Parts: sequence; structure tokens; C-alpha cells
Amino acid sequence: MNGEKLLRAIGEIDDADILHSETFVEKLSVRRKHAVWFVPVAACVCFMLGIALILKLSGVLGSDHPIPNAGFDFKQVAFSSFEQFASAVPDAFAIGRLQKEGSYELEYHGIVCLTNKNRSQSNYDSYLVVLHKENTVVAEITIIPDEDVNAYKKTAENHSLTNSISIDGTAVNYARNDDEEYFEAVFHLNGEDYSILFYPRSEQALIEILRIMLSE
Amino acid sequence: MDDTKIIDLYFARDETAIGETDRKYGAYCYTVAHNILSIHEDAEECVNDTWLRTWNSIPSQRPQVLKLFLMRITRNLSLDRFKAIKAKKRGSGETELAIEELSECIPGAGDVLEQIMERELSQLIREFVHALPDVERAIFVRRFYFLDSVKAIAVRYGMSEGSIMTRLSRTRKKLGKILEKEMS
Repeated sequence: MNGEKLLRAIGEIDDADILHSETFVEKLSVRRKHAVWFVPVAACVCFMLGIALILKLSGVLGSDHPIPNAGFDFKQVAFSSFEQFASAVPDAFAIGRLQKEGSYELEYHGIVCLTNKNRSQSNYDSYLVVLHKENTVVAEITIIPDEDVNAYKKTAENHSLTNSISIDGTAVNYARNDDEEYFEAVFHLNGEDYSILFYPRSEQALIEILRIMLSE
Repeated sequence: MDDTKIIDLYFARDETAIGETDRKYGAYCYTVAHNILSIHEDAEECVNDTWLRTWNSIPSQRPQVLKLFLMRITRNLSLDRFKAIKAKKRGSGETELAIEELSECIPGAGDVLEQIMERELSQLIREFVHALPDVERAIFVRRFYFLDSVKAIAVRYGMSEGSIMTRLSRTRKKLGKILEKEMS
């Protein structure tokens, strides 16, 4: 009843806001058009700045005193178990909150996890974890903490989860989204529900990552 | 045909106005009706009812943007029909989901929104939507005004479904806080 009332009330929003939703896609395409030239130009500028920085650090350019730190608060930690990993990171699945202190890197079972706030959603509590193994990206995981999980579970249910595996007693359902080439996995761990979006190169990679996460 | 000319036909009580409206905006109105009802026949009937309602409303009203004027009528008629369908337990997709999603952002249980007058609620929502950032506003309107599916919105804006879901979730949460504040 309440939801229906809200839905009705939304029907009274300003014409301008309705039109905005129609024209917004054009604005986006204009932005993307700009991005076409902006990206290479930005890349060139960054490259030149990088060269200058290297020269400066190596003492070839400018001051006798190299810059000690480029500004990154970079931490590297090795964990032996998922629990240790989880306990070391406050609110295990909200790793991105550490971003206040800078980038965060950790090594876990030979897999380097580089966490960062989701590039496309910098204002939101969803975090991007890029997993590297032997300098190869094996997966990108979007982690959705706590309250957003239900919304994701619903999406997963709508996808009518196609596969289900059991890893050390933890049932994991996952679905493949054909358009986006990602997997969506839903599982229950330590009394909590989690939903994670995986962008792996293969189904095998997904299962491998899940196995590492859940088998400890 | 130009919108102004179509409206002039209504004012002249010329029945070709309906045909011209149908030709220009039939598909547009049908999409929204179908988003809400999910049943082809019901959606078509709603669009036909829209033309009748428009015929009875113009003159007396002169819409500034004909497309949006028609959209509001179609949306309201479709929601009325949806309610009737729901009473008969025939159920339908996106509207059920949208209502469920919106219900989640309402604080407390029961008909708490009854505390807020209808007009007050509309004003509150209007201001809330208007104040949203560009992307969130567009996504919110597509989902809860046009009742587009998450997948359709993702395709429309070239984003992932996950990103759309997250943004919607955050926006609903914001709305929930505002409603809570309003009710306290």
C-alpha cells in the first residue's frame, strides 16, 4: 500500500526531470565523445609527468633530494587465512573504507588484491577489488557491503541462478549475465548473506576465487 | 505533425486529433502501459483510454508538453488498472517489483505514509527527485516513473546492471531517510 502510494506520488514529479531522463542518454554520449580525445591526451600528459618524476627521483633533474614518497599510503600484508584477512580488515567486506588512508594492497594465497572504490561509483559503498596473480588480472570483484546485499540478491534471483556449487559446506549460487560477461554469486557465510559480482575471465577462475574465499 | 497543431485539432473538436496523437505517441504510451501491466491487451486498452481521457481534457486544459501530458494520463490509468488486476490476483512484473523496492525504503511498518498528506508527499518527492545528481535522477525516473526494468536502464545508459542496482539502492535509502525525517 505504501509502496503504491509512493509510486503514485512519483507520477507528480516535474516535467523537467522526466525530460532529463530522456535527454540524459544524449548527454552521456557527448561525454563519451569528449572522452575519445581526452583519454589519449591525458595519457600523454601522465606519461610525460611520469618521466619527469623518474628523472627527478633519480637525481638527473632538479633538486639533489629525491621526493621520498609520491603520496600513496601503500600497505602490503600477507594473510594465511580468510579469517585472518577478514579480522585484519574492519568490517571484512567493506574494505574500501580504508581508502580514506590511500590505496590498499594485500597478498593472499599468492593473489594480490588491490582494493579501490568502484571506479564508476566513487560516491557509493561498493568497492572494487582487482585480483592479480603472477602479474595477470584474474578477476575483478565488486563487493557490496551489508544493506545493499538484498538488492543484489533480488537481481540474482531475477537471473534465475543457473549454477550452484558447494564449497566446504557453503552453498554458492551464481549466475552469468550474458550481456555484461559477469557472474553474480550469492552465498551465506558466518551467519551473513553476501552477494558479489565477479568479472573473471572464466568460470574456472570464479570457482577458484570462491574456493579460496570460502575454504579456509 | 507538430504538437501545437495536434492540440489545435483537439480545440477544434476534430477527431483526427486522436489518430495523429496515436501515430506520434502511441508507441511511447504503450511502452509505459506495458511496463506497468505486462499484458499486451491491457496495455492497449489503457492507451485507448488515454486518447479518450485526452479528448475529454483538451480543451479546458492546454498541455505545455503534449508527450508528458499523455504520459501522465497513461501512467495513472495503467496504475489504476494494475490495482484492479492485482485485486484479481493476476499480478504483473515490473510494477510489483518497483512497489516492493519502494516499500523497502519506507521506515516502520503499516500504512505509515498515511501520516503524510498526498499533496505533501508529492511535493516532497518532487523536491527530492529534482535535487538528485544527474545520473541518479535519470535512473530513478526511468525505474519508478517509466517503470523500466533494471536491464533496460542499463542498456539505455550504457552501464552495468550492478551499477544501476547500487545507485537505485542508494537513492532509495536517501528517500527513506527523508521520509523518516518528515514523519518524525
